[in-house]
Amino acid sequence: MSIRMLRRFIAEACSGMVRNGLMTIASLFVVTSCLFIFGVFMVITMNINYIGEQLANECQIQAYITSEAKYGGKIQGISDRIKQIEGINEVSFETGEATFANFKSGLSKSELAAFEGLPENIISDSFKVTLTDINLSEAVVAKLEAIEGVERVENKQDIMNIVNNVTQIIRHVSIWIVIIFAIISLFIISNTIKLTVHSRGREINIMKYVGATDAYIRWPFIIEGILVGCASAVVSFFITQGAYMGVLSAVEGNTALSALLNLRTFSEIWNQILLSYLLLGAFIGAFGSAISVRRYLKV
Amino acid sequence: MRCSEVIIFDKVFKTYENGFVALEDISFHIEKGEFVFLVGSSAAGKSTIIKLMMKELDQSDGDIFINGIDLGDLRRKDIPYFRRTLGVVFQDFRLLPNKTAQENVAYAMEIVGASTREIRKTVPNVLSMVGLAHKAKMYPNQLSGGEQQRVAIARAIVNNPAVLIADEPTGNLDPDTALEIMDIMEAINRRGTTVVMATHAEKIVDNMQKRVIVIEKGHVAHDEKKGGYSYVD
Ligand SMILES: Nc1ncnc2c1ncn2[C@@H]1O[C@H](COP(=O)(O)OP(=O)(O)OP(=O)(O)O)[C@@H](O)[C@H]1O
Ligand SMILES: [Mg+2]
Repeated sequence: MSIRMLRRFIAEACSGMVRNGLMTIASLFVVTSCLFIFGVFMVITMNINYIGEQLANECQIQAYITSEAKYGGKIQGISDRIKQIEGINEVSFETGEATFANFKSGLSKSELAAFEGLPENIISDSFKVTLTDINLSEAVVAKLEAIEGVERVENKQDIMNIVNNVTQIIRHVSIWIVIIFAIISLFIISNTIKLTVHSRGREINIMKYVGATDAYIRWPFIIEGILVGCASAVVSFFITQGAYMGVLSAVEGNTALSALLNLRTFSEIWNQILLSYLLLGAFIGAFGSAISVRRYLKV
Repeated sequence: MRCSEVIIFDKVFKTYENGFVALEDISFHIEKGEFVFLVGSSAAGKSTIIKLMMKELDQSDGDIFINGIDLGDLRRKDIPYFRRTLGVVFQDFRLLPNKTAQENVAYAMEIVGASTREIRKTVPNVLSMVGLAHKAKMYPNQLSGGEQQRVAIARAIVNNPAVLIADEPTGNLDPDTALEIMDIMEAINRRGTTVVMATHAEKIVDNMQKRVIVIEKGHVAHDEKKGGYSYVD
């Protein structure tokens, strides 16, 4: 395609948009709403993943080591092997004495009496491990248990399982919602575009009578679709920003909620949102136009 | 085939999808530079012939050659390039409603990849040839029927086609305006362009004394070198 052609196509697309102003606004409106709803679920998914990561950091796995390993000078070796396991975030060493003291500090006086007289080193030394992703906990536990010198691995498995299941479910649900919604919006949008093209079906027929090739007719419509898609992406982005800021300040204003929910700031996610909107908007616009023009080209 | 023959219909049949036989054994040759009227009563098959000529329809049997191109062999993707060798004019003008008169004419040049400079030079010339230079910036809905048809003719001839095909170009116009349009058609013909025109306009056909091909119920009933409309029943 030559530069001259491209310039003509863009000029044609722009004048098409202006001269079919009402239809352009209608499709802009539809694409914007679809992108926004898509964005809502995308933002929810992003935050669920984020919360999952935070929980993963809080859920520790504790690997207790045998006394042979402790006194045989194997601690460093074990530490190195743990660090090689995939999915490990942080590893810290804790002596049995510290673990015991820590445990006792959480008890009341009467409860403490029961542990009176026990030796300080009754609990083995251990490594505390945090994960990058809670989904990996079972695999990590298995690998930890396989390390020589590891006596047993304690994993707050019940809590982890619950957290795990909940985040998994929400993740799956929201991904499906995003997919289903993307399909629905494609359908709605291509119908809207079909309407705009339909109002110009006669125009397309005339172009064919004059001897325009299919590609020549199609390109301005595709460019028009891309422009409408991108414009919708930008509008939708600003609406999303406003809405997200609103949610963030509402959460911050509520002490209970803000203690529970630590959400992404907008500056952390804006680029992903804008990029997805632009790509999706341009794709839907181009694809929708191309499909709708097709049936008028058969003259 | 002699190379002076720009249009050849050879034993052409057309059966529509619903089984209706619109044309049966149509044969005629049109030479370069001829002016030919296609006449006949309503539903005789004139528009069907025009549509076959511009490859809007495919013939069911027989051969059609236009400018040496065998329409039976023409592939779909080559149709646009074939149509550029023709100028076509319709009863209902078929202008792009969102383009001005000059933009409509320019569009026909744009699709063949003409440069902006060529377009700027040629379009005003052609518009003044059809007598519409002063309304170049008007949109179709701001023009009268006769004026719209002038724009359509300007668009049809702007790429210098060898053949101009018209299906009742004066059908929507009053008699005086029709005569003006015919003057333009004749002027185009004098430049060497072959003109084929389907029409009901008896007076025009009688006055111009050009070749007349009379179609009746899908057959060629008469083919007169210098005919009048009287051959139509
Ligand atoms: N798409 C179609 N399917 C079936 N029959 C058709 C179709 N188009 C035209 N016909 C029939 O073919 C016959 C010839 O039609 P055509 O349009 O060629 O007539 P015409 O000579 O141009 O008439 P008019 O002077 O009224 O324009 C008519 O009987 C018409 O009903
Ligand atoms: Mg007709």
